[in-house]
Amino acid sequence: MTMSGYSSPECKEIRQLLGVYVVGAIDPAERAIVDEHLGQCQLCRDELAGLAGLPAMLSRVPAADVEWLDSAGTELPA
Amino acid sequence: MAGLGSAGARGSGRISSDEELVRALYAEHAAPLLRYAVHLMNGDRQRAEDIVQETLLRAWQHPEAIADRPARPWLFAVARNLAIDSYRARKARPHEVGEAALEMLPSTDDPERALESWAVADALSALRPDHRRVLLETYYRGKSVADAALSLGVPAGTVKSLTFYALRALRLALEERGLAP
Repeated sequence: MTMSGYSSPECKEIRQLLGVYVVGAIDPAERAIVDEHLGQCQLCRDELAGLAGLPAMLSRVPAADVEWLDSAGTELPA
Repeated sequence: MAGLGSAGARGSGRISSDEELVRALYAEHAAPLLRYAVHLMNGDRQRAEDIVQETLLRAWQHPEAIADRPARPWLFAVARNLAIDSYRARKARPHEVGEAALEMLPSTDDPERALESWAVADALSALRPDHRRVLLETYYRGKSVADAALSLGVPAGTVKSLTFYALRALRLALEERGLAP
């Protein structure tokens, strides 16, 4: 886990955008901000590297199965 | 079923509470387990029912496994392992009649890949519901942050942070299953 090291206060905000960045949900203006920051911040690039392989893993499970898990998950005992 | 003998050998003194346990497990979990097993077996209901039977039998044989915790994750894990065993056994007998369901599996040429897909699904099933749901909206449904926020009824900032933490949780869950992205 690399959450501990921020090279600047900006990093905290950037880190929280990296999730929607790697899954492609980020809006274009924010994507530009993240891209610019990544160009100058090794720690955030490292954090990104830890997340970058996850969409490929997600792609191994059909969306319909995740829909099913989502509906079944609400029945899980507390 | 071969396992019945060993379960019955545990002694008649426990039969009544055992029966109550099985009845309770069946009432609470059989239907969702069967849905899951049908999914694992790619729609082969007969084999799915066998897996549910065997899973509940194992719960009966190992009541300590679910004594102090929610039973469902354990039951689902057992069902998944049985499905994998069944899949492997059938791969070892490629000429068995009735292979239609097996052929529906993704990447039949590569059983490891199919098993890996199951493991990813299992990791997703272990996530917090809000984490799983945000990934469903942003990744699987391809929604923008703004649209996901509308669907989920949370602020856009929450979608961003939830997605980030959901992915970190997923990475951990994958690592726990021996899958490093």
